[in-house]
Amino acid sequence: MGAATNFTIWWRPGAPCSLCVEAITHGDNFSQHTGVRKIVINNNKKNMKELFINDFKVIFPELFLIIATIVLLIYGVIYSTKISENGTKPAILIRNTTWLGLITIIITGLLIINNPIKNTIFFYNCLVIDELSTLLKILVLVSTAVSIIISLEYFKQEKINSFEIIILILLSCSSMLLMLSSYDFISMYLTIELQSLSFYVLAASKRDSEFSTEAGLKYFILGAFSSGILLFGCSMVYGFTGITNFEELAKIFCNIECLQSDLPVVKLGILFLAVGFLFKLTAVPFHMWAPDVYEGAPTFITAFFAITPKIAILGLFLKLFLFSFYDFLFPWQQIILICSVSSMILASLAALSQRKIKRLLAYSSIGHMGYILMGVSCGSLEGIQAVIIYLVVYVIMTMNVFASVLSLRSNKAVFITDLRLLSKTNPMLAINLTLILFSMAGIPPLAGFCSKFYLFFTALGSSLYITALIGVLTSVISCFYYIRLVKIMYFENDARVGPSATRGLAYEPMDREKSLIIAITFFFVLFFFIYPYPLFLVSHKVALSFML
Amino acid sequence: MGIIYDIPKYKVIDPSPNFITTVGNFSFDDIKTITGLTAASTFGGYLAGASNGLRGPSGAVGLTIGVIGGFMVAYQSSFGRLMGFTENSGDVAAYTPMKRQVWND
Repeated sequence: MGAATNFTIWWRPGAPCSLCVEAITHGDNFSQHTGVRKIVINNNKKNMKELFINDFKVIFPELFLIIATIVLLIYGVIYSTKISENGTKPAILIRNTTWLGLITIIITGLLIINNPIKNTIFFYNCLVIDELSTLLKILVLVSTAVSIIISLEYFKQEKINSFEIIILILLSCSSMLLMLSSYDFISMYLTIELQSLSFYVLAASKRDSEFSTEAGLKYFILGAFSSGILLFGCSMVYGFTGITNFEELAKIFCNIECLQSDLPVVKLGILFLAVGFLFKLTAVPFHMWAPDVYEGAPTFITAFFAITPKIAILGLFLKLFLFSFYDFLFPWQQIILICSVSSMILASLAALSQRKIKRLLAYSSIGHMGYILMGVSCGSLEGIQAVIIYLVVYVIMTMNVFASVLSLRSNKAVFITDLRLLSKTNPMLAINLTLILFSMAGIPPLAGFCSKFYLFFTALGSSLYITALIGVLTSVISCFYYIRLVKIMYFENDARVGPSATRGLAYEPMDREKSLIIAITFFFVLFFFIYPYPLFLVSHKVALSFML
Repeated sequence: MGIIYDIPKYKVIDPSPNFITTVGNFSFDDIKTITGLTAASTFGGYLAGASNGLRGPSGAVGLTIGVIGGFMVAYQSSFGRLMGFTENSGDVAAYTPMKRQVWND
């Protein structure tokens, strides 16, 4: 890569050479000369320091996000501690930094879309840009922006004044963008750790709440443990192959079926890697931390946890297992299938007994991860497409649900019985929640049904008949706890005695930002079945570019 | 050093343009992009500062973010045209040819 450097042509004077003339013109081949002349053709002179110019060009989105985060941090530090001239307290910066953070995310998205280089490997094969990473990066940015937007009113109600929350969200977003570009074990681990460290602090961000502190501590301990297991898996694979790059691993393991029985170390490494990833994805049996952390963390942080990191971890998971370890499909497919089936069954059964909204949504997200893992275990192009479609629909549904839950925070809706008679106090919100819960249950013709339908079809196409059957049965079971919420909203009367019997939900107008998010996601879920082609086309294109 | 798998669809003026070349190739649209993003970001920051009386500093932060972001977007557009990934007929027509020097002994 790069233009030619300076070069010199010599020939003897006196004898004209038409080819030399042509050589001078084109700067390429020259025949035998009879003259000696020194020709120096100046091209664009390149030296060592310019070898990596193209590498820095493609990393602009992440670079901009990190620089803007640092600028916001400096701004926050200066003005959060500055006493004004008339002696009043330092300014409250949380709303300020939130809007500036949103501007940052919009410009980062613009940089990703405007990048003229769509497929490249850079920084010594540590990072990659391809169609899958570009699509998922845009999804990460959209979900981060939505998570920030729906938290604006929450900051006001709960009187939160820590601008550092936005800084941590932006840092974790930058780590997730880099995670989606990872092409090496080292870059993968560094980005996972950067994201995890931000998340541990975010989980404990409500410092006057014991639940939040407990959630942060649990997340930290279990997250560190899972990161250690992930690193151990990386070290085993590296110890056997001497390679950390995903593409090199794919080349080494190409057509290795005959030798798989002689590679127990690699299989063990893959097992540890899978366990590390499944921890982060809250898949059964590594899901124990999720309900407690989701319940204890502040609600807007729970929304962020439920939506955004799963996109990044799944993208990385797909890249590593369906690219580098594709030739070990049968061993790791069994592991993923067991976790998928367990997640679907346990989430649907455990959620039946939940009484709190956030814990119910935590088990719901565990169940959805089970469905997504079923698509991953297919190991086919249609499987990747089904995963992408399900992920997009899941993200949009979850945005809506958490926006709705946050709009009820002023009434302190903690238990599911707090939703009773929401149909009378806030009928529009009740209709919205009803539709989204029906969609999550997979009731046609909503978006959730379309994504599940395609996923089950793909599973059947990959001969995963039992898994698809279990998926359908657990969908039916999960209908119960989703529709129970609808029943509480529409038919539960005031006379019922429960943990929150004395509380009721009075009508409170929703803020403009949340209502916009709820409206957009509502109409997407409602009308997706009419014109699903754009998402199907984009996901198919991304899956094709990934597999080929 | 990276490997770019994309095949340029347009004429390649410079496959690896450096900073000076890229900035020197900024078109009027690129300048408009920088100006527009900076203005929008500054205005957004100014409005964001209304809630706590920090309009000025918030606007300055918006300006900083807008300038950096706008410059990067314009830089992307410029090197995309130079590397032949985006439409660049204007740049091809305007680009000066390579200089040649011949010395006689």
